[in-house]
Amino acid sequence: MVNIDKNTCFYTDNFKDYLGKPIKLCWTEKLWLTHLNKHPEIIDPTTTSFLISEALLTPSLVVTGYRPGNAREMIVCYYKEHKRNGNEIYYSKVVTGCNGPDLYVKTVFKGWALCIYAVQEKKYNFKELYREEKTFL
Amino acid sequence: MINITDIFNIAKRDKWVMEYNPDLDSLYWSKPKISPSAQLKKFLEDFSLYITDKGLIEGLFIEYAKGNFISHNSEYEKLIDKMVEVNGVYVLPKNAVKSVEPLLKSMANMVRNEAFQAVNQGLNLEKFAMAR
Repeated sequence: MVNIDKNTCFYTDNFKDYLGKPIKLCWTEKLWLTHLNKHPEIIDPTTTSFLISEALLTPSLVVTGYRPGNAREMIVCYYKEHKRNGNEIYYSKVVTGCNGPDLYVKTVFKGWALCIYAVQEKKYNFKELYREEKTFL
Repeated sequence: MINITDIFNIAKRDKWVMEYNPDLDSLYWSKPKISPSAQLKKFLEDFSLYITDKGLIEGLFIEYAKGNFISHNSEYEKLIDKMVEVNGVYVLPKNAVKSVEPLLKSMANMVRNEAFQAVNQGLNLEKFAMAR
């Protein structure tokens, strides 16, 4: 269920990940437009919520660690593999930040990558929290 | 035909804008508005390219700009130093573009060279760029 509240957040929603952990989203209109402008595949809040929910609930790979270059900010990245063509992979990525014990959605996007380059966090030894058996990510 | 050799001139012609989002550490150098048909294509270690269904390049995206790319290529720090904050996002102002043009050209050349390397190593760039 997508909620629109123009007084506080333009786009807000509540999700649960594959472990049932609650994850919030609260984007101002400016933040929404910034994302939409750079990631047109998110289309509208309903599509975005579907994308996020899919990656959080049935991820292919979940990794966590400190954001490269920022040893104070822990992030959790949820990857969802949608399709594969040889060593090319079409995936979505949801990045969540931690605000105390709570997780919140920082960004989401979709794209193609060569398998070796899809998960940037591999370079930074992020800890794998979950891996789907058959994923190429 | 993907015009990977001419990114700098494409950027000039299409008035690409460079933006840095400090909350995500993301750097974008792209058309002011990305076309709905453009998809991110990542075939290089640090760069993703926005490529439309017609094979047109509309921008570059670096996921961990300061934390990764600039930490290994410190000369590009100057790009972020020149940016000004607009609503929480840092933008390279038009009047600063001239002074960093050599860096923009160098970044475009870096993408071109790495793409050539990838092609030499077997990447079918046309096929990958057009995959939907």
